[in-house]
Parts: sequence; structure tokens; C-alpha cells
Amino acid sequence: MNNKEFIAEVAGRTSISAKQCQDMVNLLAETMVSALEVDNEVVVAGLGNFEIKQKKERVMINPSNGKKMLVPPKLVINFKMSSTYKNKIN
Amino acid sequence: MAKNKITLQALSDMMASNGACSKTTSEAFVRNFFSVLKEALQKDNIIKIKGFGTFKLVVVAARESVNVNTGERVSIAEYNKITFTPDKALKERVNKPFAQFDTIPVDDEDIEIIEGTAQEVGEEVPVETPVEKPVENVPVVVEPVVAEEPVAEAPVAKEEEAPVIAPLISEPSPKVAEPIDFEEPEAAPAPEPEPVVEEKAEPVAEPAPEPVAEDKTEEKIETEPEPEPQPAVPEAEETPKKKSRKGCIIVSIILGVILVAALVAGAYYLGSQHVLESPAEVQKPVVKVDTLTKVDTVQAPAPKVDAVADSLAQLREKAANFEQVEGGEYLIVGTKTYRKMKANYTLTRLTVHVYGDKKYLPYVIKYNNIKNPDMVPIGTRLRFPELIEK
Repeated sequence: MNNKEFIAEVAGRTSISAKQCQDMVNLLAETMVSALEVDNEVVVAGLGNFEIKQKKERVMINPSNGKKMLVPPKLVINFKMSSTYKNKIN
Repeated sequence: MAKNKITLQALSDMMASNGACSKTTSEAFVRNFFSVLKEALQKDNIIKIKGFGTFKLVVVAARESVNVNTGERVSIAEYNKITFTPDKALKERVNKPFAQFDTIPVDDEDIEIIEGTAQEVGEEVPVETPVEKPVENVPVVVEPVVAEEPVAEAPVAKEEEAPVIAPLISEPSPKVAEPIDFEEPEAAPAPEPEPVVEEKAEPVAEPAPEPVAEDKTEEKIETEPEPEPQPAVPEAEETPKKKSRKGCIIVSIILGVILVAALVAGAYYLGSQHVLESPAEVQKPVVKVDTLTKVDTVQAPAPKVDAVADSLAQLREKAANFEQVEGGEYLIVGTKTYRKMKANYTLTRLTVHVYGDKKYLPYVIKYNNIKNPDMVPIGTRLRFPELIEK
């Protein structure tokens, strides 16, 4: 399913316009991140949870020129399935 | 790290508190968002949401593993998994605290600092100048190499060439190389060295301010080209030809080796068609045709069965007679074939020969009650089980 269909479906169910729906999606993303930043987990019942994890810096080799590069530490957002959902799809 | 769990309700409250929308709308929106997401995943297996990310349903292949308590081989069955890859905007938003860093090229000395190897204070000083050090090394390393070859390029008088080449004479390189080296510089500026040499022939007797060793080599070279000034040039001309000829020879040798290898492989293939049960490396993988010549009467179930409906049900009953692998997707229902362990072979390799995939290894181990799969003695008779899907 692509973005257009998804937005259309959610907008239809919530009785809002498609544009409003897309804006709310962006707002949702922003809200989630601000919630996650303060050392939290966002739990979606029956689906899984979102978490922010820190990755350490590491040395990697650029395959095209063989040079060693230093990748700095970074924060990434992670999604982990819940066990109920796992059983559901298996 | 103890983390607070934020529920969907809390999220929708946060959204509404911004003032962008009413509480009811945000609640409904959040709930619908995730339910449509779940449904879409079931229907389509992939869903891309702009401003958020991509949710994908992937299939994780079955793999073998070890039961941590018993050390027994276990097979982890195939399963489905949801993966989430955040959108670019979301990624950047999340990484805001670390945004100023960038990937940089790094030198080897720095890696030691990063990887935390213990270093004394004194040692750090040379490490602190990493940029200079390798640069210094490079010209030093390159120089002797440079000295050898581009001697030909330098259209300088031989006096200057000789002191550079002199240190090389002491190197363990074969002395045969030297006359060629000297002849090459003679080849490149072809007409030049000849008059130079001839000029030198006279002042040989003069007390030259050069070390004795150089004198001797110079004399040697001079006497060589002198009586044969003409052969020097054609010889020099030959050396580039020789080099191209050498390349041709190497290529033809490689082709010859490939031909021989192809012939040998063909011979084996032909040979394999005659051999039935021998434990040679010649067996084709996934031997579907039954090659049993020594069927054990105790192992009654027919090993020739392919998935036919009736016999499948019968087989499932027979599966109860055998010990099964925990977590496995397949049931052992009898013996498929036999093999003997050969020298320099592994259980994994034999499994691949019989089934075509090494994922069946735990079944083989279980069926043969092998205690140590890494140490199966040569000559051990192994039974490979017939497997059906659960």
C-alpha cells in the first residue's frame, strides 16, 4: 500500500481531509520523537514498541576506495514486534 | 535503563495539547492510524508512510542453532517479521543531538586510540603526528624503488646514475639484473649513452673521486658495451620484446591449466555415472534417485516416497518411531541413504551432497546420535534421514 492509499483510508475513518491527515501524520511523528527523546518507549498495543537506541562509533572501510572511515555515534529509532503480534503473523 | 512506556492515549493527548486539533480527533486519528497499518501489513506486506517510514513484512529463513542448555543442535523454523525503516526526516530529527558529526577518513594509528588499546604517554607522541608520519614513510619507501627503475628516465650523465645504483649492488638482488638495468638506461636514451660510454672509456684511467666499487662496476659495464656497442642496442631492444613474450607465455600457461582442469572435471562426471554407492567425492548433490544397495531390513519404511497424499499420512505416523529435532520444520520418517565419512570431509559437506542444503544438518546429527559433530571419525557409517514437512 502506498502513502496515498494509506492517508485516504485513515482520513476516511477519522472524517478528516486527506491534507489534514498527512499533516497529522507529520505531527504524530514529531510528537513521538519528542516523547522518545526523554528516555521513553512508545508502545502500540498489539503491534510493538518504538525505542531510540544509541549506536557507538565504529571504523568502516569504504568499499569503493578501500579507505578506512570513522562513522560517528548516532541515535536511531527502533521498532520491535510484540509477542502477540508475532504469534498472529506466524 | 528503566523506560517509561508511553501509550497511544498519551500520544494523542500530547498531539491535542499542541492545539493543532481537538482531543477527540487526535484520539480517533491515532487509533485509526495503527489499525490501518496492521491491516495494510496483512494485506500488502509493505506500507510506506510519508513523514514516518516504511513498514515491511519479511520472511526470515530457517537456520540451525544450538540449544544453550543441552548443547544439542536445534533448528529455528522460518518465521515472519515486521521491519521498520524510518523516513529521512524522522531519522534526522531523531539524530539531532549528534547531527554535527560527520564520517571522516581515518589513519591506522588513530584506530588504535579509538579501539582503546592501552598506550603509554610516551608512545602517544609519535601517534599525535599521524599525518606527517605516513607521508614521511612514503617517500622513503618509494625512493629505492624509484632509484631502480627511472634511472632509465633520467637523461643524466652516468656519473650520477652510478652512485644511486651502487647501494643496490649490495642488495640481495641477483647480479644478473644489474647488467640489464644498466643496459636499459642505455636503451632509453639510445644514441646518448654510446658517445658517453666512449668518452668514458678514455678517462677510466683518471683518478676518479668515486669509490672503488663503483669504478669496478663502471669498468665492467664499459668493457661490456665497448666491444659490443651494437649488440647492446639490439639486446636492449629485445628486452622490451622479451617482456611482452613473457606475458604471452604466462597467459598460455594459465589457459593450459584451465584446459587440463576442464578435462579432469569431465572425466569425473563421466565416471560418476557408473558409480552407484561408492563414498567418493564424485556424487552429484541431491541424489533423488534411490542409490541404496544395502537396505537395512530393520528400517522398514519405504524410502522412495515423494509427497503423495496417502503415504504422507502413513509417514507422519511412522515419524513417531523416531526422535525428532526440536523446533524443526521437518519430521524424520526413515532412512534416505547411507554415506561413509571420508578423510578431509565434514558432516556439513556430506549433508549438502545428500540434500543440497546444509540446513538439514541438525536432523542428520539427531538421527545418527552424534555426540560431537565436529569430530566424526573417518570411516563412520552415516545414515541420512528421509524428511517430510511437518
